[in-house]
Amino acid sequence: MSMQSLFYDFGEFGQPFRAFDLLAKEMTRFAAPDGVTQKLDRAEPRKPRAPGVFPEVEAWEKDGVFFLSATLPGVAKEDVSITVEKNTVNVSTKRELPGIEGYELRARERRAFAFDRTFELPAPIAADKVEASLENGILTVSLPKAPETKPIKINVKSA
Amino acid sequence: MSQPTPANGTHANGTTKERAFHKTNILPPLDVYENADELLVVIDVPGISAGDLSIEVLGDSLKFTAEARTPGAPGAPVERVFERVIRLPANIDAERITAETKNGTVVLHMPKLEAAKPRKIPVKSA
Repeated sequence: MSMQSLFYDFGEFGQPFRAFDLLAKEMTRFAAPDGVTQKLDRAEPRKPRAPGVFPEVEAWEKDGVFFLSATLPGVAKEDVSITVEKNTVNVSTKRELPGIEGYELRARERRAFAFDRTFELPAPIAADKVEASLENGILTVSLPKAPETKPIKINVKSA
Repeated sequence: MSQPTPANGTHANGTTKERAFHKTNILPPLDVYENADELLVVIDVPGISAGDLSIEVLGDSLKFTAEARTPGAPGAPVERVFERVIRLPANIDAERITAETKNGTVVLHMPKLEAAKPRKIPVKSA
């Protein structure tokens, strides 16, 4: 019996360690602060990611505006695409490192990446008021809530 | 407890945690390119502008430091500190090294010494 079969084939017991795989998968999802939850896009198959490359994302809410920020060094603003629909926002970009013309590559530590994430926000967004900026490799998207979802105070009249 | 308790950042034992900036020390990844005239070093430094950079050459090593604070989420601002020491090859003219920032990366231009460049020798016929 080889090691491989020891670990993966337990005959009538199936694959007892599969639970750990599922748990690890579940742990890679993360809940952002202030109730903004991230939803993995399960409709598309996962694209393989280079190990260790995972642009940091922060999400927060302030004064009725949701904010998302991602660290994207070396990405030009033309290569960032943001789409908003109802209460979801998709940010996708990629960094290709094709080399520099006239130069030969001597050492490579930086990695190319493809970044495509969909975030589900707790309230609909005013799509026409969404703004995004890419400054020094940090992307910041501000997503104001749609006006009708803001609470309206009703004055109670006495008879 | 008579002391006022801050809304956040207080441990169970009553000590107050420093909440000003979350400091991250980063060893930034870099790429090295070369042509006949110079070496080009590209370093990933998200959040860094030209004013946050410090580059020192001491002997045959170059010390690169960059420090920037980004506001980030309220209550969790981030201070990123990038530090890297690069050994300079002998054929580099340390006096003429220049640096520029671009989209959150820093590009170091390291010109080669004139004496180290390939030189074509004309051959005279007798």
